[in-house]
Amino acid sequence: MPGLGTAELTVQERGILATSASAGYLDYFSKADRLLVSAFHQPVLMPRKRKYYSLGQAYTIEWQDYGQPLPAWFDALMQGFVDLLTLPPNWNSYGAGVVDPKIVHYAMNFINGLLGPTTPAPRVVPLSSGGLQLEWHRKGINLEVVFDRDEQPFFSHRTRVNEEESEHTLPEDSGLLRSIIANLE
Amino acid sequence: MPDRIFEDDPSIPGDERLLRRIPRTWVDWDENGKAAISSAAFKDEELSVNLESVMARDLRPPVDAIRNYPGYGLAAITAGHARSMKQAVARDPLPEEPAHGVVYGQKKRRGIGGKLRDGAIWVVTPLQSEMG
Repeated sequence: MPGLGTAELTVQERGILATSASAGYLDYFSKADRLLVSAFHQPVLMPRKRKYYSLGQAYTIEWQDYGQPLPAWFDALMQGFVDLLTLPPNWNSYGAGVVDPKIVHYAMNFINGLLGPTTPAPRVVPLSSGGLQLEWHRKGINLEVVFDRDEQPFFSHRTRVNEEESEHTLPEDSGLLRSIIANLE
Repeated sequence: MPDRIFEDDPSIPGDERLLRRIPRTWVDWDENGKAAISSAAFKDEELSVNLESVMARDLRPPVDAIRNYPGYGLAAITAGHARSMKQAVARDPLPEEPAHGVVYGQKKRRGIGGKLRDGAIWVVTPLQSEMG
């Protein structure tokens, strides 16, 4: 893949859960990256897929890219999302409902656009309300990105230096979230 | 949104331990095997707990709260800690759980869920290798 360097991946919204056990999404190199490549060296999109298992169910993630290596966080993050999709009702013993697949879909697409190739994978944690949060706790940074039902996504951020927690709404403050995530590496 | 609103019950003392079951999906183990609880475990507006004193009255040890939940951990916060986060602590006995209580109030925002978690201690730590 000549000339592609450290291309940033973006994700196009695409229904990932057409069936209960299949998922697919499409990603592309950004337009700017593609402009750097001459017509003779234009990379070719190829279909790719990976299969993940959770509680006896198989989920296939399908997408298209240019054959570049997968980012370090990819498998851990996808497995985390798939694990949420197989949680049964009352998974917390206090009557929690299942996690909403639409929220998983949204979170998967949203966060994929903010992570770099070597970003550490977040933990994917279910909420009793049917939503989820992504968590990083490392290098003195506590970061939680919350996707919940009937609520605008937001993230909360706390550092060892500044014990006060700050909250920011998404996608408005995506730039700030991206810079905080970069500091986790 | 919860259907009910709970008022704080002043008959519950500040040092009352409030027990909360913790499924494995809310636990993260570090490289040393130390289990950390996610703030997600303490974000329900109507947060179910067991009042330890009511269990003791009925001669039930705390671990009885997870007797039927293999793989679960059991964490405790105090009523005083919950109140310091502007939460109401109330009794809510159920037919199947006479010791049931509720920590009521908004927890998702302003880091309240995380602060409640920060005040929690393990009563029973889940095992990393155990299937829940």
